Amino acid sequence: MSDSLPPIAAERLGDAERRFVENFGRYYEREGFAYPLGCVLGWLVISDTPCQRASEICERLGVTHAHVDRVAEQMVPAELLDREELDGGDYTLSMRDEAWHKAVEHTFCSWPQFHAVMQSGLDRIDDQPPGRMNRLRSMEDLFSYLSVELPTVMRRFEEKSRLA
Amino acid sequence: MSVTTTEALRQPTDAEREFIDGVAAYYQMNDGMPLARGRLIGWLVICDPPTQSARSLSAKVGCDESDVDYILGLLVPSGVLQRSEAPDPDDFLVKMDDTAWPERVKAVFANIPVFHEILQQGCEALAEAPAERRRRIESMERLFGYLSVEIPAVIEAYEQRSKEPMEI
Repeated sequence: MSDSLPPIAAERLGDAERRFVENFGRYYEREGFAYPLGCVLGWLVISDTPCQRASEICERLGVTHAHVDRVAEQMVPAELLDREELDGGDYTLSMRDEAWHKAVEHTFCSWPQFHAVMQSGLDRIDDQPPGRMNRLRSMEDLFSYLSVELPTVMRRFEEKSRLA
Repeated sequence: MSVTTTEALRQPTDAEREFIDGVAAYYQMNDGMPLARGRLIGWLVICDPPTQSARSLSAKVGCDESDVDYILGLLVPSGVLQRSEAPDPDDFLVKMDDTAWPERVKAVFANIPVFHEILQQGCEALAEAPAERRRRIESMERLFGYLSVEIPAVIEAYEQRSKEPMEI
């Protein structure tokens, strides 16, 4: 596991900013992402301004362009980040204020649809040797529960936010 | 287990194809993932045997080796998939364990309180920053503060339900 950003980042981030970005990177590394990718994402949570050029991110954090490209590849289609192309091959990434909220809500509320695919798979793919469907069965069991509970959790959050 | 059996080489049936296309459509619609990569995930959930060579995976779902590499890059570090050496040094084996996916989902949820602590630290780091800059992280901190209480309770209830004997 990586411990910290390259020394260049210490010169270009405040101490508290660097600690946050590094902790974010470590968290994502534990979740299976490469450490620099989590650092890029963490920086985009607190960057000033919200819209950052890919080349600027590389310079500030001491990460490679490939790292920023990978974050863009994963997070732009998921609508967590917005991407705009610039002249000269560079581009900007930005995170809208409510992007994370929307992404989590979208994911949780999409799980009934995911569960329906699993359920249909169990119904349609029959006459199988014992054990073959264990992977699908274990997923279907968890998602049958979460696909009901998690949209409810999000609805309660929306209600709580409205009343706050 | 050998992966060069007749079963490993046959093409997906109509019902299997319907399932992997359903998984692919879900990931394309919700995460913007190219269909070939989503089909690969779907096939890894139902393939028989569970261990498949990368080359046979590409052939079965009609994807490039780069798609296999991408999905492995996404799911091997998090433990959903396992990668091991194949008899052919130019190939490798991929496997999903029976409970790998649900265990992964539960592990991500169990870590939400840790994520929330990091966000709290970020809010403190930006305490003196202009309101406009703080908005992203404050919005996240509010959401994950809520989820760090609610989600563990949901998972605990699920685990409890799983332990209860089924009604006949």
